[in-house]
Parts: sequence; structure tokens; C-alpha cells
Amino acid sequence: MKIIIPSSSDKGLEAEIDSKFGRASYFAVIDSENMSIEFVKNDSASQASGAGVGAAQLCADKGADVIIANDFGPKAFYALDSAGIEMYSISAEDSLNSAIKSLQSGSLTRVTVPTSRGKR
Amino acid sequence: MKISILSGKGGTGKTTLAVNMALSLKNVQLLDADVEEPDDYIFISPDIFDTEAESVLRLIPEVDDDLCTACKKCVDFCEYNTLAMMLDQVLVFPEICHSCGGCKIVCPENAITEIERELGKIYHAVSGEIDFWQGELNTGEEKSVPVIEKLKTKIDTDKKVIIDSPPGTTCPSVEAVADTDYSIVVTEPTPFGLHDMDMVIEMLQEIQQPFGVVINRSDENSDHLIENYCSENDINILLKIPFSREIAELYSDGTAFVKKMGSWKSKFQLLYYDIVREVNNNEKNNSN
Amino acid sequence: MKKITVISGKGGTGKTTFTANLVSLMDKVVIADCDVDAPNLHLLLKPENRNDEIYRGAKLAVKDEEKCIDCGICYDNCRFNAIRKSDFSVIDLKCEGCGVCAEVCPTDALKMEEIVTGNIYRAESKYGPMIHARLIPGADTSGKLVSEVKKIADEKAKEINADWIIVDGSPGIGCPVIASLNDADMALLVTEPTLTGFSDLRRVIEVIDHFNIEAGLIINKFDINEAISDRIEEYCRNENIELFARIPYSKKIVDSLQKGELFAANPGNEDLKEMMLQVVSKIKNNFKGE
Repeated sequence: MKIIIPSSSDKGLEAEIDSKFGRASYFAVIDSENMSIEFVKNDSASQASGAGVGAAQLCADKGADVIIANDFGPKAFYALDSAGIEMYSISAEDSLNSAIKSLQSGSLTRVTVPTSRGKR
Repeated sequence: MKISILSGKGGTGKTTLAVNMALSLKNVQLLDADVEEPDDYIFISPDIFDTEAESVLRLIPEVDDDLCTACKKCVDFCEYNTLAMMLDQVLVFPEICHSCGGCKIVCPENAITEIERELGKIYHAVSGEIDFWQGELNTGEEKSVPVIEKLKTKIDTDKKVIIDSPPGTTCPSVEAVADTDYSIVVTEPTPFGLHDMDMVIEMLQEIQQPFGVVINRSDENSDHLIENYCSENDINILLKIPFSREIAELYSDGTAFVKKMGSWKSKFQLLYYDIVREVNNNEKNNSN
Repeated sequence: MKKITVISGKGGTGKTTFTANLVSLMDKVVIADCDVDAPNLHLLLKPENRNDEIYRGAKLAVKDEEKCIDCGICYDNCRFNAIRKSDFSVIDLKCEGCGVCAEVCPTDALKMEEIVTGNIYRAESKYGPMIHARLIPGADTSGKLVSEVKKIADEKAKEINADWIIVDGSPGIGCPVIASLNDADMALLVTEPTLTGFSDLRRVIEVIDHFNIEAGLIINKFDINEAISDRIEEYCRNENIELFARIPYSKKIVDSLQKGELFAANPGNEDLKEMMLQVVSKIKNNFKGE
């Protein structure tokens, strides 16, 4: 299973979660089979508009099954939901490592509606 | 004569100047082009939302799934992330679309057509001597320029035209000012007012627009902030509206102050004719 | 660390003046000016030791005259009238950076380039580190610049172990406001008792409702129209927004502002300072027990 988490740096599993999904600095792409990790720079972060949609596209292109993030705007939510990707919410202060542990222990809440309204 | 009124930021007195000037003149047209927060109507025609509005439309893409081969060229082309490809299907996010038409051009399968979507509305009312038009951007939409363009098609050059422009120095302000004969920059005598006025003036000079300054909430102890700047840069100060509790109280209730302080009408008439004279002089000098 | 965003809906309600005086009375604070349309906070807080960083916020079509064959295809396809009919040159102010002209140009004479649209500054004020920005005139604002300013403020707050980030938010209800409110722990609404101020406040409350965050109300110049002030207060009570302060229409505040000074710091203004200190304690109360 491929888990993607927005990350504020590319420094391994101890990196902190980036509170913004669309404008996260990096995405950590984690393979839960062998816990291998790849960091992808989020180009959408530097785009003037539609960062949430762009980031969702990147995650879908990377083959995400699950995304753990602090906040999903409405457009990102709709895009990821359309791709059949499961979303879970977590507090922004966590590290990637603890996010994955929480997911595996089943303590994360599945996101079924957008967590913030996004634009207007 | 077309005069645009603008300011560096909201709340400096743009509305105050626009509505009071309009109420002081005859055969006048007032266009509220501050389409994100139009509020001239409160003073001119509070019931304007009961009237029928004209739609401003724009084009957004629609994808024919039968023709689409999921090549993703449209998604990759779009600068605004309006499109996404999820499970071989194109999703469209119309609010962020700029209506550039690029996706339709790059689609090799002719799977994209464009459909109309309402971006905003134009309202119209006649109140006394004022032919009043208001542009409004729909909630959730972001591009005000097409609404302002449409609003400006209502201009009647046989009338004295006053355009209340969006505050700031971004594209909508530039659009509102375009093709007007003269601009009035409204400011207030504070460091904020000076700073924001400086930015507007930079924008106006870039597009070579003639302009003058009106000081709102004028105060003899601090007007020098604006006066020094204007004399150093050879800018005309056209009028001062004093710092007055009475004006602020009338404004708070939605009353234009010329309605209670009638002597101000002649000052706004003088302001208008001063501007006419300056524009005519400029034209003469330019043709010589 | 808690993030407080100050917003107003309408421009000109005194939001920036309020923010500046507030931060001057708080400890361990990082200040972010996200009012990128009219960034004025630095005029009162007077930060120093500024570090400039170039901000590239937009793309623009740039033409290579050598390659251009004057075919006019770019002119025919540009929907923003950003190509001049006379010589097919680009009108920078009208270009939306969509890339259509570069796509249709048969000789690759047009390219899209990222352009500098402003600066972001990291600076030190007397009251704490301050991040602010300035856009060049004509540049479009976006949530992106707001996000960048906040991101730098976040990093700075972690670095110095700050207790508070105070964000001076953008006016209006558009994308920049959303970006200023996103991830805030609390919003402060600064309004004035006018019909226009009230109608804009209602729209901004709709926005904060969707973020589900606590909010406090500040009615500035409340005595200009006490009837409307009362209506605003009641409206907010029904929305579960607590009244934090009613600030009078005071010449003392205007005088300080005209001199570029903080009213809470000036002699003779102890009553106003006390009012601001009350706001600080109401903010702190809100987070008690966390």
C-alpha cells in the first residue's frame, strides 16, 4: 500500500507533517510493505492558483492509496475522492513516523468531507 | 468626460467621494466597478437587488468522455490547475478557470468544448439625476476584469461619467481606469494613506494616466504628509474633505453627506469643472 | 504556539492599527503581515535589519523578436487582449500567463517566463521578528504570497520558540483571506458600525464558520453609531463570537496614527492601553487549560 503524507522537509521518517496539503514543501511517498520512502518536491506549492488540485494530481500520479494530512480543501478532497484515494486527518505537529503508526493502529479518522472550505 | 476614482486600499473614502460627487452633478452616470465589494448602492439605490440583473458570462471547458483518450495534455497545459486527471477521467474546477481556451486548443481529440457560466451580474437603477450601474462578482468567483469590462460597455458618453474603481493596484483597478480621461486618487493624511497612495500613483504613471489627489479626513496637523509628497512630485491636490464626526455618522447610516450638508454640492461641482478644464488643457498642449 | 489572525472584511476599519498595538503588548511573538494588498504594519512597527527575498508570483509571455514572423496567430488566440494588434508585442499588464500564445506560435517566438512580482522581507521589530511583503503595482495578489509569508513566520516561531504568531490578514473574503485564516487557532474580527462594515462582517463570519475556529469581536469607532454597534454585538453573540473590545472614535488614536506611533504607547492614553490589555487577556483566556 502506498501512503502519501505532506512533509515540511525531506529528512526521513522523523520529518514533520506540513500543515498545508496543497502548498506542502514535499510529499513523502511511503511503501507500507517495506517502509521505503521517497520524497517528491511539490511543484504546486509555487503555483499561483489551484495548488490543492495540482497536489492531488501529483499524489494520484504517484499511485497513492492513502493520504494522511492535516487539512483537505474542497477541491483537493473532490479530486482525491474521485481517484478513490482514502484520506485520513491528523494534527500538523506529528512526524511522518507517528502518522504511519497511528494509521496502522487504526486510530486515525477517515475524512469523508472536506476539512476546510478553501476559497470562499 | 469619464473620471475614475481609486485608492490604495479600501476604506479611504472612495465611495464617499464617488456618491457625493455624483449627487452634486446633473446628467451624470455612476458606475460602481468595485465589483468585489460594491457599496455605492447603499447611498444611491438601496433596493437595487430587487431589480432584474444582467448576467456576465464566461467560458469554461466541458470534456466529452467518449472522445477523451486520457492523454492528459489539457491537464499538463493548464497553468491554473483547473483540470485534473483522476482514474482516466478529466475533472474540471470551474472557479479557478481563467477562460483562456488553451485546453481546447491542445486537445488532440477535439474532446473539449466550452460552455457558458455566470461570473457576475450587472444591476441598473435610475435615481434622480443619476444613471446608476453596478457590477457584482458572484461569490466564489475570482476574476473581476470581465465584469468590469461589461460594466463599462454601459458608459453613455453624453453624460458625466464617474467610475468607482476597485481599491489597490491590481488588474481590476487597471481595467477600471483604462480609457477614462482622468483619475482621482483618494487618500487620507496618515502614514498608511501616504504609503498606499504612492503605490497607486506608481501604477497610474506606468499606464500614463492623468490624475489628481483628494484628501479625505483632512486635518490641518497632518495634511503636510500628503501635501509634501504632492508638491515634490508636482501633483495637484484637488479637494480636501475634513475629518468630521458628522460625516462619519452620516456615512454609518448610509446617508451621503451632501444630502444634509448642501453647501458641499458646489464644491463637488467645482471639482468636476476643474478636472474638465485640466483635461482640456492637457489635450490642447498635446495637440500643439 | 498559537496563531491568531486579524481580519476585517472591509478595508479601513482600523485592523492594522489594532494589530500593531496588540503585538506591542504581547510577549514572545512573531508578526506576519499578510495584508499583501496594502501592507502597512511595518509603518507602525518599524522593523529593522531587513532581509529581502525575491518573490516570483506569476508567469508572463516574453517574445523573441528575431523569431517572430508577424503572423498574428497569438493575437487571434489571446483572450485577454494582451497582444498588441500593431506589432504583436505583449502588453505585460494584461497578460494572465496562460501560455496559449506560446502554444500556438508556429516559430516558438513566445516563451513563458516566471517574473518577479514582489519581495518578501524578514525583519526584526522592537516587539519580535516580523515577516512582510510587497507586490509591485499591477501584480495580482494570490493566496500563494500569503502562504509564503506565513510559512516563513512559522519557521521563525519554531526557531525562537515563540508563544504567538499574530497574522494581519487581508481584507475582503477572497482567496488571500482564506489563506490567512487557514491553520489559525483563533480569528479576531475588527469592524466598524457602518452599514457597509456590518454587511462585510457578515460575509467574513461565513468564511470563519467554515474553519470552525474561535473568534473575538472588536468594534472600532463604536460610538459613531451605537445602534449599529449594538446590532453587530447581538449578531455576533448569536454566532458565538465574544465581544473583546469596543474602541471609541478617538482623536487620540488618530493623532498617534498620523505620527506613525502606537496609541497604546503614548502618554495620556492609559485608558486605551488598558482596553488593549483586556483584549490580550481575553485571548489568553481562550487558550487556558490547553
